[in-house]
Amino acid sequence: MTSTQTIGERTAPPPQLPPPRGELSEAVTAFLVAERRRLPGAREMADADPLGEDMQLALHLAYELHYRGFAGVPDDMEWDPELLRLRGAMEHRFEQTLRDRCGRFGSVAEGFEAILTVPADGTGVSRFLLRQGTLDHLREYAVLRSVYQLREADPHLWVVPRLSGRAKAAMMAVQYDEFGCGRAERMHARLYAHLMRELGLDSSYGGYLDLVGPEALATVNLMSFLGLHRALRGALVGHFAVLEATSSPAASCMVAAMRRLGAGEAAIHFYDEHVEADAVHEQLVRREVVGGLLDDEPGLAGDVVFGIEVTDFLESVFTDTVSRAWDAGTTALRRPLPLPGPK
Amino acid sequence: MSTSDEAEQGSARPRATEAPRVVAVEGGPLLVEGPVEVVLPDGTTRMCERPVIALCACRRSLRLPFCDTSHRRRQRGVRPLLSRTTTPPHVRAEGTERAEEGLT
Repeated sequence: MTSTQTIGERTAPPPQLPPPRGELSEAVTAFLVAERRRLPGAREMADADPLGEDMQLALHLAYELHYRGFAGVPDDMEWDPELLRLRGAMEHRFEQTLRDRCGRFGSVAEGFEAILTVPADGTGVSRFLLRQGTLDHLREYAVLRSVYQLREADPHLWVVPRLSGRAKAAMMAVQYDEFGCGRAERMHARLYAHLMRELGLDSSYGGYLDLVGPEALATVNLMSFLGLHRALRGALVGHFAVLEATSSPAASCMVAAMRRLGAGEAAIHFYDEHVEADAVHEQLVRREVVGGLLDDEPGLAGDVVFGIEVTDFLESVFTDTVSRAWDAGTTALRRPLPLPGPK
Repeated sequence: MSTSDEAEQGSARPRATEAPRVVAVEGGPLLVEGPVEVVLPDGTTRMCERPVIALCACRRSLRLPFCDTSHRRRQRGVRPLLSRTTTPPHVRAEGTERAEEGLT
């Protein structure tokens, strides 16, 4: 079979471990580099905020072992039982917190109705960028989203072996598109790397992790959480449907914002691609993936609704946090970006 | 799953010998199995290599002939996000009607 994998850049080395943000993430980091043999128990983390800085980073560290890992951390740490035990305890707290915030929608149809009625992206960030954003705002947004976009679609692939029939086939039709229809240079994650470089940013995977706050990390941790648990396959599918349904109009807005700000064509291309792609994906995911799964397993409707709601909730928290920072004239990152270097 | 079931659901890709399937979405686009080449009224062509392509059926798209979910905004009474000045030149004419509700 002819390979297209050599086109463009090589696979980068795994990212560096970021500095810890509290006791939990400190403990996980030390465990990963074998400086410590014991991890905190459920009781010791009772005071940690499940949506806060420390636990969200600790969760991210635990999940990253299933993707690319970290420099200096052995690959087989992915299945370390002690780490999995702690991850399970953190996931339990995370899920409880999220479930407490959900329960508005009585049915899948009601959930979709709500997210399709509200303008995508909660009108917040992309509209801010369109109306009054600067290139620096655009860079900050690119950094915040990079934790997901540089691994675009990876977390959703976990669900594929848990689906069958229509749901599985349609999921793969969407993912084929996400991964560039067989061409490495068209993979959406690759297009995002181009966007970052065009904005004068470092496009290396995990390169800005230390600047990204818990609200953005939580949106990505949610994907891994739902993707890695077969029991939550319904929620993963509901979550994915929200991403696809809200993406296209938000991408239109981003294209307009980037043109207004004079961003380069490679940067614009990423969002431009998503306007048409996600208009298709939305239809496939709602009709075939969600519809197919619920035909096979009607009992999962409640989980699909949870996936819709929880995604809407975490995206709203993210959007509100970024909007508040920008409205106040401050950075939406944990620290301001260094001045952009040459392209 | 039987063939007629699949036809109703509109999901299954046909075998190579079968005709490409087009699925009309209520209130939305036409889903066409790709890749396709679309010839526009001015004689220009648009190639689309996706496995499924959404062709606009409401004529509100700013990216004709492709769907950009504009059917949804109009349908739901949510204001569109783009204005005439931010619309790419090749779709400006089609975007004019909506541009009057635009933001900038």
